[in-house]
Amino acid sequence: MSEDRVREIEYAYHVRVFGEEWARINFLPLDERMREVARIADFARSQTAPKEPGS
Amino acid sequence: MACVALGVAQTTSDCDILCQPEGLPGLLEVLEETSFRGVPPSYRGSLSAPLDAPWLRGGWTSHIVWPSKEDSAYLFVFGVPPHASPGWELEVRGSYAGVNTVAEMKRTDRPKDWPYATALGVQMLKAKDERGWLSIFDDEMLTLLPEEFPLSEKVVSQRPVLALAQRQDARLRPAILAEVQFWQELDRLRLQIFQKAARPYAAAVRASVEPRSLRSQHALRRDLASAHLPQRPMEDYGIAAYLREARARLEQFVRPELLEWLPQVEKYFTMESI
Repeated sequence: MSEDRVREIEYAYHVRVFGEEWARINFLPLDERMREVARIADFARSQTAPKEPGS
Repeated sequence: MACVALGVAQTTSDCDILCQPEGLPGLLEVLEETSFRGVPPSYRGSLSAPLDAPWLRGGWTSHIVWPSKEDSAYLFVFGVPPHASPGWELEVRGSYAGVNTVAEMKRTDRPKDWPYATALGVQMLKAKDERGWLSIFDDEMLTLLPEEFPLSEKVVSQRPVLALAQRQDARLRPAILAEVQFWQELDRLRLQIFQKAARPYAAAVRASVEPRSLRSQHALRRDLASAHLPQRPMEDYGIAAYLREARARLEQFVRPELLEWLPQVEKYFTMESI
């Protein structure tokens, strides 16, 4: 087994089914994954309209 | 949660717990004492079975919710993982079910679950667990990976479609699609059997006044289940009849020549595994 070749095949699959951004994150170490997800959530909140008028 | 821990997902909207039936009283105690954003837990919906061994051992699930206007939390409790190999208890790693159990549970009637099964299958092969071959449902992966990992006769005998992968046969893709459809029919029929068996119980739950505390709700649901909820609906239906019916449904829309490549599924539907 060539680890590099397997990783290439696996990564290409993640890109195909989960999309480029999630594929990149899926292959990070756990602590970096958690930071990335928190960053995405914070960004999403910053771009979200208020739930109630005036809030 | 296990998919997050295993690195194939980063978020989850609910939490599934596998609990050996003898551990259910302890789990109920823990849940009673657990609030989320200051809210206590409740049973969720009329189909949720009581957290009690006779029903969860028969394949029912209990649904618990911490309701909140902002973001409710949901918990699903299984006594046995659906369509998974027996012996999941022996493969638990830390707080999570083993990767093979999780991959097998992803063979559902929902198309969105299948990429996770494949991603986990590859992880298993990398960890030298050849059962990973049984959870890879992507023709491109099955074309490329036999060059990297050994494919034994034993595993091919369990999943005939792998023979097509070995020889790069053009029928691989339609055969995998037929296989996935077979699993989806199996899961769809399983859910229909449970839903039909739950009707009298669900009606009784809806007609009752749900008490406030989880412990009181539990006592009520256990009483109602004793009167109205069959403990083992799959056994009542009959495993052989169940497998026959799922295959008959599949035959209505899959080309007959693809049926010879279907996997052996009996071992996933023994009375110990449902």
